[in-house]
Order: sequence, then C-alpha cells, then structure tokens
Amino acid sequence: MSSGTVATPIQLQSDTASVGSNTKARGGKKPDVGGKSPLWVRIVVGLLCALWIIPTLGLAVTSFRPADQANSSGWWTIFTSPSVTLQNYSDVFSRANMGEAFVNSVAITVPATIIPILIAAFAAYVFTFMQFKGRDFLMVMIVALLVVPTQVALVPLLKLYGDLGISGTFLAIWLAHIGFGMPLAIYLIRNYMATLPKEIIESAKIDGASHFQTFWRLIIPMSTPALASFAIFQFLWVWNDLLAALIFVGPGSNQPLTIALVSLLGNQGQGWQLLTAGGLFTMLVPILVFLSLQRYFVRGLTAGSVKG
Amino acid sequence: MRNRSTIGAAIAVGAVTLLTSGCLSSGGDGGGGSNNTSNEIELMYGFTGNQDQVFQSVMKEWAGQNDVTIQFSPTPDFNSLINTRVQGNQLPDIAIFPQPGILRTMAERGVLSDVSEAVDMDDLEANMLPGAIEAGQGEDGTQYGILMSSNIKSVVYYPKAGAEQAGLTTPPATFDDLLSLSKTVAATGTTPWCFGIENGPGTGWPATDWVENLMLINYGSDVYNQWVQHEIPFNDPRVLEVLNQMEELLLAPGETNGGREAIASNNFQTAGNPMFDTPPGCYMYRQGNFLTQQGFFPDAVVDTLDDTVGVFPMPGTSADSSPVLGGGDLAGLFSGDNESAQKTLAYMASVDFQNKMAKELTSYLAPRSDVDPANYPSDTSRNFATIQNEATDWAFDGSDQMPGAVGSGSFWKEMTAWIAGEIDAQTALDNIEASWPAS
Repeated sequence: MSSGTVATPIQLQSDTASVGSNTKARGGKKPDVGGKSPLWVRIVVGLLCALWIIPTLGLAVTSFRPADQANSSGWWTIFTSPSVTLQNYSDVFSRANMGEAFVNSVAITVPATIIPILIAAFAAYVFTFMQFKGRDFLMVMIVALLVVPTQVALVPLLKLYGDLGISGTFLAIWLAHIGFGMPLAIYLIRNYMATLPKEIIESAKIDGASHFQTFWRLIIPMSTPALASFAIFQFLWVWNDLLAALIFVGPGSNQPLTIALVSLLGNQGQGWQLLTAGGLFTMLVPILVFLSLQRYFVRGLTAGSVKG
Repeated sequence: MRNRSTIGAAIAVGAVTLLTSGCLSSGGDGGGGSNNTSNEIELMYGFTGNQDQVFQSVMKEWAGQNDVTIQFSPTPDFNSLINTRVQGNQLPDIAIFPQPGILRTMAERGVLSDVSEAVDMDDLEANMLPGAIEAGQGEDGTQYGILMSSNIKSVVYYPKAGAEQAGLTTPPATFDDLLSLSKTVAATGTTPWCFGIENGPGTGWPATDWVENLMLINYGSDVYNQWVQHEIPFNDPRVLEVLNQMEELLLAPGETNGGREAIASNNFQTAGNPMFDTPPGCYMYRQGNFLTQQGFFPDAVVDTLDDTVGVFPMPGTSADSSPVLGGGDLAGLFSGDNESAQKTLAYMASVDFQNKMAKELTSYLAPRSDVDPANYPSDTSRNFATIQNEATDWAFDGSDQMPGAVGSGSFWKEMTAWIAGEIDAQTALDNIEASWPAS
C-alpha cells in the first residue's frame, strides 16, 4: 500500500519535469503543435497514477467508515450516503500501544538507515579512489551478494544472536538491516562516486589533503544525491519491514509499528477495519520522508546508472 | 594496509552500535530457551486482538501473585515463526500451539518436554473433554501438550426472527431431519443455507470443516481419525459419499444463498449476515463458535446476541448421538526444568484459569467440563459449552492435523475448485490423495 503511494510522486515529477519544460519552451499551456503524443503521454501517466492512488484513497475512505458498512458496501458509496466515524482510529490507539510502537519504529529505522550509509560511503570511497590488490574481486563479491535472498540468513543470524544474547533487542535488528542493505548501498554509492571528476580529487591530493579530508570535505558533499536516494530506499524498507522485525525483535515492548499493526487483526481475520486506520497512520512518516527528500530522490534515481 | 583499515572500520562500527544500543534497547533479553532457570519466562502464542488482551490480563494477575514474570509474545504468524525460532535455537519457555500437527513436529525434533510432570494428569483425565487429552499426545503417547482453550465447529446459527415462518421450529434431531428441514425451508422460496468459503489466501478452509463434520457424523471418530491420519486413503469411497451429501444439502440449486457459484467468492466472515436482513436471505449458517465475537455478525446483532441468534448442534445420524468437531490451543513446554514455566502451564490447565477466561472472553470455550456454566457471559456461549460437554463423540479438526501440504494446501484448493464447479468430487479427492506427502 505505502509503496504504491510513494511511487506516484516519481511519475508526477518526471512527467512535469519533461513535459513541462517542453511546453514552456514552445509557448504556454497550449497543446503541442502537431504532436498528440504529449497528451497521450499525459493520459497514460494519469491512468498510472490513478491505478496507484485509487486503492490508497479507498483505504483512506474505508478507515473512516463504520465496520458494518465497510462489510456490506464498497468505499465509494460514501459519496452517495456519507457516514463518517473516527471509531477505527480510537480503537487502534486504545487496543494497541501505537505510541510506543511508533517510537520503536523510529528507534529501529533511523540507525538502520544512517549506519549503513556511513559504512557504505567509506567503502564506496575506498573502492573508487584507492588502489589495492583484489579491489575488483572484492567489488564483484559485494555485487554478487545482491542476489542472495534475505531469507537464507534468517536462521543462522537468529542462532548467532542467541549465542550473543542480543536476540529481541534493537541491536539485533539494526545489524540485520545494516547487513542486508549494505551490498546495494555500496554498489549504488560507488557507481555514483565513479562519475565524480577525478581531477578534483587529484588537485586535492596535490594540495596535501589526506584521504580522510578528501572524503569528508569533497566526496560526501558531492555525493549527496546518491546518499539521499539510498537513505530513502533504506528508510522505507526498514520502516515497512515486518519479516525481520518479527524474527529478530518479535512482539513485546520493543515491537515496531508493523508488528503492532498486524497484531490488531484477530485470528479469524476480524477487526480488519482497524488495519485501514492503522495502515494509514503508519504511512504518514514514509510519505513525509519521501516528500521532504524527493528532490534528491529524482536526481538520485539516475545515480550510478550513467558512468562518464 | 587493507587489514588495518577494515579492522579499524569494524571497531568504529562496533563502537557506534554498542554505544547507541546501550541507550535504546530497553531490557528484553530475548528470554526463553531450555536453559532458562529464572522466573522470567517467555510465552509465545498465535492469537491476537481481543483474545490476546484478555489472556494477558488474566495471566498477569496470576503471575503477579505467584512471583512469575511472563514476557508475552503474541505473533500472528505463529507456525512459521516458531519454526524459525526452533531452527535458530531461540526457544520460548512455553508455546501455545493452534494445531496439534505442529506440536507433534516439534515433539519429534525433541525440543518439547513431557508435560505430565507439570500438571495433575488425574485431574485432567477426570475433567477434560474426552479426546482432548489425546490431542496433545505424540505418536508414542507422551503428553506434549495440554488443551487450554477449545472451540467447536459443529454449530449451526439461525436468526430467531423469521425462523418459525420458515419452518425452523425445533432443532433437527437427526441428520435426516436436517436434510428435510433444508428442503422445507427451500420450499418457502428462500435459500436455507448461508455459505461462504472466501478468506484471501486461506480460501477453502470453511469447506473442509463441512467435510470433516459430515465425516464425523456419518462414520464416527474412529473412522474419522483413521482418515485424518491417512490410514485410509483420502479418496476413500466414504469420503466421496460425504461430498455427494454436501452437494445435496448445500450445493444443489436453491439451497445456498447466492447459488453454488457465489460460495467461493463469498467471505466466510460475513456470509452469515444475510440471515439478519428483512426478510432473511438465508436461515442457517454452520460455522465455529468464534463467530459470535465482535467483527463478524453486524454490531447490532452482536449486541443483542441472545435475542437475535439461535444455535443448534449439527445432529448425528440418530437422535441419541451428537458428535462434535472441535479444536483448540495446546500449551506445550520447552523449558521442562523451569519451575515457573511448569507452574504457568499448570495454571492454564486449571479450572481457575478457565473460569476466569470464560467470564471475560466472549469467544472462549473451556476444554474442562467442570467450568461453572454461570461464568459464560451469554446464553449463547452457555449453549456452546453444553453442546461441547454433552458430545457423545469429540474429534479434533482434521485439516489442522493433516500435513501442511494437505491440511492448509490441497484440501483447501481442491474443495474450492470442486465447489466452484471446476472439477467433480472424485477428481478433487484424487488430487488431494495424490498431494499427500510420502512419509
């Protein structure tokens, strides 16, 4: 659901960026001279947006409808026979400790986003600007790790955590997410860094900058789009994650929102109307994060894709 | 050079994570495991929502008085999570299994302890439902689980308003009576049965309950259990006979609300709701006793349950037989040597616990027959208890005991295909038989 909503602004953005600049250049809002394709493109993009937005809208509307009505008629009937309630929301907050779960989610997501970026940026710098034996081989190994499914690591990790006595703690889930996110992070950031002009690094070297200075003063500021776009990827992934959270944290006082949410559902699926309200609530943060970072996101999407 | 920098990075990362984890992770040592000797135990189970809340409050009250600290781990995806945790050697101290099948799998792995030491077996033998003790036994007869809650699936709901006009005056005493009642109602022009088997990825399971009910009614628990244990093939002619019975009772034109085609897409949660329309769209809905909880029938019906909804048990072949298909949650012990875990398990098997649960949880049904009926919150739940306790034959839900590939796989799928009219009954049964894993 949430991935659906966050996907739309990209399309909107790219749409307005390309189509908008074209039309402006050719003069105002009028349809393009001789070309029907921009209109056609806009219709297709509009349809695609609707495909993603309508289910989310349905979710939002349903969350405000009484359960009985939601069971007996579709959400669109709200427009003909409006009846609105906040019951679902008050139930969600009274039945589950959403406040605590929210704090837990933040406590899990923020370190699990920042730490891998930091490590991956170091690693990417090394892979891009330092020469050492076996560098390419190591890089290939890391890229190869991209195809390893997360699930194969669950049981061994759980065993390890058990031996270390950290199962069920935040540390356990951080480490898991850091590990799972690392290959993509290194790959993405390294490919971006490879596009940075070598001359700048060389001139910094001539001026006597150490690797560390070059990294902090030059490379990091220049790599912001790639870092930000990976930050969004990782943030959304960790925030929406249920699988790893269930296994490494589990229900209880450390549970994130996803677990709190799914625990609202009864054994035979009763109480699903609570999920609509709870689901919408958990979507708020990802939407905010996305909207505030989306200008990096659009730039960052091309990060590493064109080397030159 | 390379070594130094990687080690340095590792140390830096380690320091960062350790420092921050110190601030953020609050307690939660993960608990559990067979080497836990403290009085802090982890209790893992698969029920959520309201059931979970009431259960926790009852357990916390007891634990506070008995110097036990319980860490509750309710998880919606119990079966896969317990498997992962066992493989990862992260055992809870007690787990409550929703299905005997998975309990037996765990017992075979050797991670479960014998519970007969922890509980008073004589007391349970005397007061538990017949058959309920056996449900928690492994193949060698060792007691690995104790039923701490039960449910029944041999209940038919009907709307009190309008039932009489439709000809539903007395509960059918025999299965033949049920058949003729069904015909009587159908003759009034309204479909007698509500039936829906849609449940997302779980679509089809309500149909398996029907098949199991009819197997039990027609052939008794001995043949039923042989069928469930695969001692007789799944596509035995007797099973085909049952499916034919179902076709006559439920699937024939005019028998089910919406017709045969609608069953597979009709959600089981709300399939019974047309009973409360005026005039009713159907008159009888067979489903488990859990259906009286908030969230299935319309809220107005749930609020006036005793006045609006009547229940009768699925009848046996003769007036003096009343077989009941049931189920329940089995508590199993991972930390056999932990005294607190033993005490906790014993409490869940006790009449005290079950009295309290009966009083506070609408959907709870006690597997002990000595629970005071006055504790049940409504006449409807008292009826359930009576139906369960007066059963002449009690059998555990079959699909829950079959191997997962069948019990939550082909049995669901083939029944759905058959009901939707895509394949005939014989093909469905043959397909299920073919899917039974070779052991």
